[in-house]
Amino acid sequence: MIDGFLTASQYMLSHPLTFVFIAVGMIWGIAFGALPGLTGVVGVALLIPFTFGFGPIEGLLLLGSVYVGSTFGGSISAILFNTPGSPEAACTGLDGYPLAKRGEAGKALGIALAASAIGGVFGSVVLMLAAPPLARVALSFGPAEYFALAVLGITAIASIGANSVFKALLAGLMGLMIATVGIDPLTGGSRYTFGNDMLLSGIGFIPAIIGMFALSEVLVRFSERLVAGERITKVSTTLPKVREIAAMKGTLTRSSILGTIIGVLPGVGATTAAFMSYSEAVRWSRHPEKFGTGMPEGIAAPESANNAAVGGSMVPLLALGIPGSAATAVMIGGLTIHGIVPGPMLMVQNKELVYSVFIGMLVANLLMIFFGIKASRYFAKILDAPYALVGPGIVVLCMTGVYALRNNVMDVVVMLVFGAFGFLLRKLDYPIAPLIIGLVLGPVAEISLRRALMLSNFDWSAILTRPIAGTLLALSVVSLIYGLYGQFRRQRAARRAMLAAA
Amino acid sequence: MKKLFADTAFAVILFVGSVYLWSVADGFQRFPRYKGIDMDFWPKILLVVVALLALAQIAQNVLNIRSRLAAGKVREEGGEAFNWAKLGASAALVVAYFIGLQTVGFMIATVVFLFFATRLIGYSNRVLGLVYPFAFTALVTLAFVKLLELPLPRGMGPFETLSRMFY
Repeated sequence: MIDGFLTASQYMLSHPLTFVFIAVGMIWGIAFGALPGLTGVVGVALLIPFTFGFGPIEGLLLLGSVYVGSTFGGSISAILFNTPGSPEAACTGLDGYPLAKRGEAGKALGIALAASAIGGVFGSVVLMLAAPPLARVALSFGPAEYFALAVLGITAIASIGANSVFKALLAGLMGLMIATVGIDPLTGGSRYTFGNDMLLSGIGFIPAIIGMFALSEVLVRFSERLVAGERITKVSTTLPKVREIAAMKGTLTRSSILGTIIGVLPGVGATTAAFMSYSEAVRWSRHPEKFGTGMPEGIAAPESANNAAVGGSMVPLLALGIPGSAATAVMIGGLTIHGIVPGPMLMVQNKELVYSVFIGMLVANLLMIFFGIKASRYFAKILDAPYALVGPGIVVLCMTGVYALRNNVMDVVVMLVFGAFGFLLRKLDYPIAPLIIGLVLGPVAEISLRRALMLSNFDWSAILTRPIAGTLLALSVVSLIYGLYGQFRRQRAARRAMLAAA
Repeated sequence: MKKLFADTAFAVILFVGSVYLWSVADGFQRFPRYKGIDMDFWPKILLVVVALLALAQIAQNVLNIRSRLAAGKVREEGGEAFNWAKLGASAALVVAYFIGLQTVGFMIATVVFLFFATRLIGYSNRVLGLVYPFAFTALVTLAFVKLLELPLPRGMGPFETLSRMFY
């Protein structure tokens, strides 16, 4: 481990441009996180084609910093505008906006910033400590374990992070189905190409992501009328004093740990971490009735959790090749562009890259404090940028970025089709993230299952009785039951309320 | 209610689609060596689950519709304002931009697209609305061509010749 850190530090110090990339990524991420509707995932997706011109370390540091920055950036518009810039900041506004309305916007932003940095550093440290041993354990994973992990990835995001488990599962399954288009990796035969040679290489993952996240969001915004909220734009961020942070140490510790654990779970991400952390903060508080009125813990809990989840979600990405969240699923595109396959062999074959990411994440979280203090008032002004200019600009970046990937018009067609499909799914309240995770995990899940069956002579029980695979599959079933039960209770309560009101 | 019906229709499409794709999978090439885990193995597993979930979603929606009818709640509550005309025009403009990229090249297509897109959304500042398409196009061209050395569409015929003067 020490070797790895020394090599990576040497590389980064001899290539100071890496720190420039971290800073640029941080600014881009905060901007995308702060602007409602853009989100960090869109920011990461748009930058992927651009990373082609750089080395893999620089590319991944850029994308990782965008992820870190955007997770904090969402809190700026949540606190000042009562509109979360990104889903993971939805809870932050519950107490952040009331505090801002009392004339303490600077304090609210300071708490969000400090909590984000603390959670982010915690998550990065866990990443550094957990990823290498997990990768070593993963080297003993067989096809059955990888199949079980892929199933857990889909079911976890479907059951924990979604309002409708059926819809989230359907979205994940659609992603898995789309991943079957093209040449079958085992037999070499073509599937679902319908005679079109362009589909032999399958559905491009990066164009699909850019279409589903960026283009569909623009189409949604073009077609809807947004309700304007009261704006607070005059702000000066003030970091909380040490004793104020100490007063929240319980909340910060609990939220950072919870955020990291949730981030590590394949398929779940910062949004779930923020919500669960906020509910735990209310549950553990001596004054739960004060939440929603401007409680500092109400800001600190979700912000430390969502930033801790960033580091946590990088653990399965780097160690297992399984994305821990939608943003890390998109980052796989950034690695793919450089011909790098994430997984346990990454630690062996690309130690410099992995340890550079560890250092880069830590630096990004520390840099965030600087940018957050200096830039909040400028980022508040970004919120004034009319979407009439931003939206078409995003369409241009989508088209040119996707075209630049392979100079192939088919990629742009894929992006347009998925943009339309993503728009339809959003209108029908189908979550997009499970579909993308299905698209990413599809090949892994299929090949692993088929190989596992070949090795076990088509004996399914041999897969289920393997300790790790069996445990992971059992966790999938438990998470599904948990999600379905929660959905059933919510729908029954809603139906009863409707009948009572009639 | 409209949304519930649309949701139900989509679930029906998913169900019918899964049946259709199952029949397509039956026509996949067979490889005796991989009997039991052939090309259609994984898609068919997925299609069965999709069909079952689609049926479950349809059943759930039917229950919701019946509850709403029983409660007399036929109208949608709240809901966002949705502009079909604007959406259609935006989609048409994006498709036209895609065609324009291949025919007239990046620079002309982008300036025209941005000009009409900002007008379509209703941007009121005329001066900025005129300057922005040119400024943004120049910025993206510089970024892609000079900084990143990535290709941009050149168009066809005389437009390609024109584009080559710049990149």
